Amino acid sequence: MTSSAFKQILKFSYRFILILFLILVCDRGVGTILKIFYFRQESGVGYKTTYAIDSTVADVLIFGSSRANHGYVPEIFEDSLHYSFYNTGRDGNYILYNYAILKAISGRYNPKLIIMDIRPDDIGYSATEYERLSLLLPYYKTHPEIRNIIDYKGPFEKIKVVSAIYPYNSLILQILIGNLNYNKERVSDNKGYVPILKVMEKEKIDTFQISLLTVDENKINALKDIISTSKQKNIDLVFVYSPARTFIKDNFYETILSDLCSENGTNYIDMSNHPVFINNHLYFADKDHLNNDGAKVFSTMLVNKILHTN
Amino acid sequence: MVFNSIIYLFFLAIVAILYYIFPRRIGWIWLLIASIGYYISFIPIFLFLLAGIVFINYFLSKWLAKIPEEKNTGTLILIIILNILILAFFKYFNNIFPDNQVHLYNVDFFFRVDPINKMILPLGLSYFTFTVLSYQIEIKRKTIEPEKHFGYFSLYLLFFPKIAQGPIERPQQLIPQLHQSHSFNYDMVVDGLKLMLWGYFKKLVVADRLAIYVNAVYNNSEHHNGTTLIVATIFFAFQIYADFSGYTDIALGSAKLFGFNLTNNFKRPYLASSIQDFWNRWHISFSTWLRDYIFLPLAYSLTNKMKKQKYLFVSADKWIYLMAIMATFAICGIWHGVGWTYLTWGILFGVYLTYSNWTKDFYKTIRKRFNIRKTSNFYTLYKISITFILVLFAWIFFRADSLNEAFYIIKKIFTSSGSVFYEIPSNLIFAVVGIISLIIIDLKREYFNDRISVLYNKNPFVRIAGIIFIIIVILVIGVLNGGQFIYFQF
Repeated sequence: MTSSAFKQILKFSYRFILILFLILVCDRGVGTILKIFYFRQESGVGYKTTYAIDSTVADVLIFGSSRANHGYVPEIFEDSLHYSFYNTGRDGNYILYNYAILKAISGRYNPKLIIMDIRPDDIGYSATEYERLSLLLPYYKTHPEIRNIIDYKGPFEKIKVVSAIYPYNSLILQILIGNLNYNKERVSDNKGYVPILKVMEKEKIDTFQISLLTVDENKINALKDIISTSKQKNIDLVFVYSPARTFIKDNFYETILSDLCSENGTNYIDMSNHPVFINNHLYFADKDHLNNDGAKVFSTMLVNKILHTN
Repeated sequence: MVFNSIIYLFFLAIVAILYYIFPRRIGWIWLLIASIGYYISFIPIFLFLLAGIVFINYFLSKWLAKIPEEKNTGTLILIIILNILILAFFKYFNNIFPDNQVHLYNVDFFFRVDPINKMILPLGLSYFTFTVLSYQIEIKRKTIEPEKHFGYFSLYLLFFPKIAQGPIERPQQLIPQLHQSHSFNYDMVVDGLKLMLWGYFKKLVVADRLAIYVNAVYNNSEHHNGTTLIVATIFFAFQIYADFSGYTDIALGSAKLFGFNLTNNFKRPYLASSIQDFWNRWHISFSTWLRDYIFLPLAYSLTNKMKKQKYLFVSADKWIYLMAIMATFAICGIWHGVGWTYLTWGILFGVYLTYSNWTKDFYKTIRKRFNIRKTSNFYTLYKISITFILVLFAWIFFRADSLNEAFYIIKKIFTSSGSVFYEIPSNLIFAVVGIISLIIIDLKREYFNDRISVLYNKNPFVRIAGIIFIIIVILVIGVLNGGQFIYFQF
């Protein structure tokens, strides 16, 4: 190596380290601001997740995706079961997300009843579901019990969280809005339940064939762990396939799910094709989601079923 | 190990550090090993295929060089057919055998094994094949001598920054650089890193953000109105530009770290004032390949065959242009993939260019009649807008899954109105921010050049602040778990 090249390498190394240091300083600064405001949110989905993980002490907890979020009415459960209630459901987040939330909660206290809204094909592999685990990154450092679930995202999460901004990636507007009172008024959140008021147009019931039949072992293991944790901690656990106007043609996933429940002595309630809902599109906001009226009817029927089962 | 993965950055850093530590004479060996390692990180078995093509073409080129120019056309045709057959086999295998079952395995860096049950196109084979063909054609034309050093020849074809998605490097451009000794060059390395940074911004902040919206709309076109489909099509235009040019910037930047200059593929294509100008600015290494190896030879050959001045009252040169350009753009479409959508996309550009060529004199008369200056700002803006709209229309065919869907979308754009769909407002806002920043930078580079510059500012504080700002923006609003580059599939 010539002396000129060596000098250039030294110059480069010095400037590279300087810039790296400045980047780290800025990253810490911006990341800290984002963190402060993330955990100061008083409404919105981020707030809901934080509340579920850190604060709720409700007796009945609902887990699931949007179908849980919009389908379980608190007052009906509270009035019939005489238990406090919180709906942790979050749109577009399925088994792995719910598993993480449950793990964080069960480290704090033991709820009395857990209702997990599940559609059988949720146990299939979905790359998107793994990507969406990034929503749990703000809790990566503070909740070691969920780290291994977030690490499913990829082998480099441990390295990526060295950046203080990374856990809040793409959340800046959500954080901003979650800190505004305006959002509280805009999104009606009743103990985690977000009602949908619109009514779907009458359409044919949608049936579809799932093209990729690949069971995700991580999810099966998650479900097994949820079942065994519930048993150990004496928590009643019910899996519910809530009403929909979308049906899967083959029962590949449903068989696996119902077998898993029966093998472990866990309740699995399938209300997906209940005639009350199949014959009334007015109970739906769209093919996959109940509206507020439908949610009330469904919650009442489900509570009755649970009471009779127990 | 795609460019937008963290492992690529580690890989690149290690390769670059060792490259400058090793003695200069073995630099090429190290780069070849790194290139092989890079390729193995995708689907290892295909490395044997590429190695086979390198080996065969090395000897074929030597053989071709020995044949006198007037007698070597047949040999070249055989070489072309051989290479094209290999490409076509993989590219169209699934269409010829739709029910095929293959048993391939993808092994990643952590030795996780993913089974692959359908035939897939070996990474970069289209770019690789076109690079090989340009090498062989140049040897046939006697513009270059065949490379004697098998190692340099292999590295010319396998060099990792360009293997997956080009640029399609001409031998005259890259091979001489392989023979040079590359000492550490501060300016070049810094330039490369800045280029990579801007490439990552385009990919992570612009392209992947737009992809979320475009995919949501185009994958459910029946549920969206015409307004939303127009917005999604505009977004797609910027998505594919940011995606591919972002990739190119990362490729060029990576190569610069080792002292190599690769061909730039993009020159602000949406500021083109005609379709011809657009193709001078879009995927330049591919468009010039098509021009030099298909369009011009074909036009030349047709000129020799068409002896009359006019055919059907139209001058022969216009017919020659039509035939040569349509054939060229049909090949351009087919190169991108199987299916009528790509072919239609290519032919549409052929039609645009033919129309432009055939009506050149007419528009000249119009301009003269109305005293419109070709250089006036208003006229330039008008031409840029028309060109953009025509390109936008063509992108519908490129993005749609089928011709029926493309026509359905076009029909809906003209017949169904309504408000713009936005499921996640932040996505839309970030997307618009990304597009605006891309447009501002392109306008600056096109019209103001170095007068206003952040990354290349004379003041080092401004430069450093600019670098940090871009990195922070990427971390705050970039899509950090985004997907593949669009042009990987070709």
